[in-house]
Amino acid sequence: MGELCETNGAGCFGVSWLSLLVFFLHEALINLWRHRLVTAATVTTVAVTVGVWVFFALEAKAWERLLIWEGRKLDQLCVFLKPEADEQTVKRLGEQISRLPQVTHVRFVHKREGLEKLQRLFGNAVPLEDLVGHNPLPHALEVTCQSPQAAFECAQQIRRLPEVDEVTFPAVAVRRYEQLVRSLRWRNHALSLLLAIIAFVLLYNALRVSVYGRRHEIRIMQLVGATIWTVRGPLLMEGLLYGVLGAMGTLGLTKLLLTLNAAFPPPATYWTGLWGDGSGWRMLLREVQVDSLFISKVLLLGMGLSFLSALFAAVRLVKAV
Amino acid sequence: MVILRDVTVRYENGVTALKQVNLTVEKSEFVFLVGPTGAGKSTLLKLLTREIVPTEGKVFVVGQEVSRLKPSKVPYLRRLMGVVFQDILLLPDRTVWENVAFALRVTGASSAEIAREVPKALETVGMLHRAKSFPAELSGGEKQKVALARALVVKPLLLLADEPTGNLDPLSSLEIVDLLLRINRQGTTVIVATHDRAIVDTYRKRVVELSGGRIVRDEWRGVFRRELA
Repeated sequence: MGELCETNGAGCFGVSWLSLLVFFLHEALINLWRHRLVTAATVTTVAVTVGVWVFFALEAKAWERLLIWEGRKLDQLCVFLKPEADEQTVKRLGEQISRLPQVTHVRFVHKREGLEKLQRLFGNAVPLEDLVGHNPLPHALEVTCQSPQAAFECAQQIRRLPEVDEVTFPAVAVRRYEQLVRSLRWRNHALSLLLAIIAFVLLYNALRVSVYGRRHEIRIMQLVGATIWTVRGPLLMEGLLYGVLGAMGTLGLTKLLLTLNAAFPPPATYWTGLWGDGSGWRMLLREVQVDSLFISKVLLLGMGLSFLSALFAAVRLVKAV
Repeated sequence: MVILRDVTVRYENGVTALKQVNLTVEKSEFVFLVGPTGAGKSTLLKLLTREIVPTEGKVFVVGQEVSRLKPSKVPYLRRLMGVVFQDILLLPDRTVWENVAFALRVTGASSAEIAREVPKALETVGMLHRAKSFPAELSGGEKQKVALARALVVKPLLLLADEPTGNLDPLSSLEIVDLLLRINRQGTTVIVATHDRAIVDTYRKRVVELSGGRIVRDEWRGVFRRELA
């Protein structure tokens, strides 16, 4: 009898992908409506999960801004050279350092400028030059790095150069900053993962209910010759819809918070009370712009989470018969 | 169309449903599969739809050895068949039209094909006038006709019916078998598993009797029980 038909022929029809897609959407919508309560619970979970993820992202951004605000100089190093290094050597070294990937700017500080700074610091109270008879300071370089973390790494590299005597930078502050950001990241990652697991389990259960509710459809589909992915299609579409609806919930909530925030402006104290009286959170909201990029990111997060859950559920719950 | 060679089916619980069964059904034949409950009738039909595979032996359907068929090819085999059950399995929240169209939609048929084929299938079973009704508004016989239309809409080469008259009154049962015969006359091979003595005895078609998982009788123009002939 030859090969089984996969296109046209007795018992077979051409495949219209658009029709199939419309069919998936139709079946998924029927099922969302059929299990309204489960749908509401699942969509809320997705919305909360995505909302918390967005919040963590904003919080991380806020910390970054806060630290830039509080310690703008954390990314700067002062490189003191050995006394025998002449101007030519210093300039060559400056060029060498500026080629390091983490370095954004290098400024040559002549030893005369250094002395002037020192004198300004002591208010010309002590004539340093008179004490030793000559300028005791070496030439120096002011190096600006891409970030406080980069400054730490940069200092280690510069220290290895033979002409360099000492590299100073606010190491303690940088370390503290790093520890803070690291612990914050850990906390955020752990909470994000926990929320993702909760959302995943809820989505899986919602889809299990859906598979049970659709058992007759699934049996008929399998017996009339639907491919395994056609049987799974409505479930995957359901997952995507949960994601879209959840993300829309997050966007709606964000918009509501923004409107309320605009109606009742926060106090001017920038970032203060970030963890205390709540005004910092409201300042944080001022950073949010519900533009197309923000909407796309939220939608992608919601759809990604729910699609992966749906894919897992579909493969696990709908087997080829 | 259908060939079973030395087929044995043993379930995981140790029950042997079919033992060394040999059967050939030619194209355009009409076969009644009879026997008591547990004789292996449904198992035999499940072998043909490849819901199960034989423990031993070979099963050929439309020229394909089904147990050696890749899982990805099974749906394409099933598109050559129509299946009707005793428990009907119509979707209660869809109209008659949607129930019949469902069989086409899942295979990715276009809206134009659906609009062309569904009325034809409903017309064949005389249910076009009830296209907008829901299953709850239909009688048992009408529901079975809709199920038959859903099986026919894919233009099957082989039609399998498992107790299609099981829950029907005698008149509706005769209507359903009349329809199956009409479909058979158009060239479709039909295999009907049944307990219904009246219809088997009325139509005098080929009768294959199963008992204890074995074929104990294969008669042309047979009756429900040999001793009743």
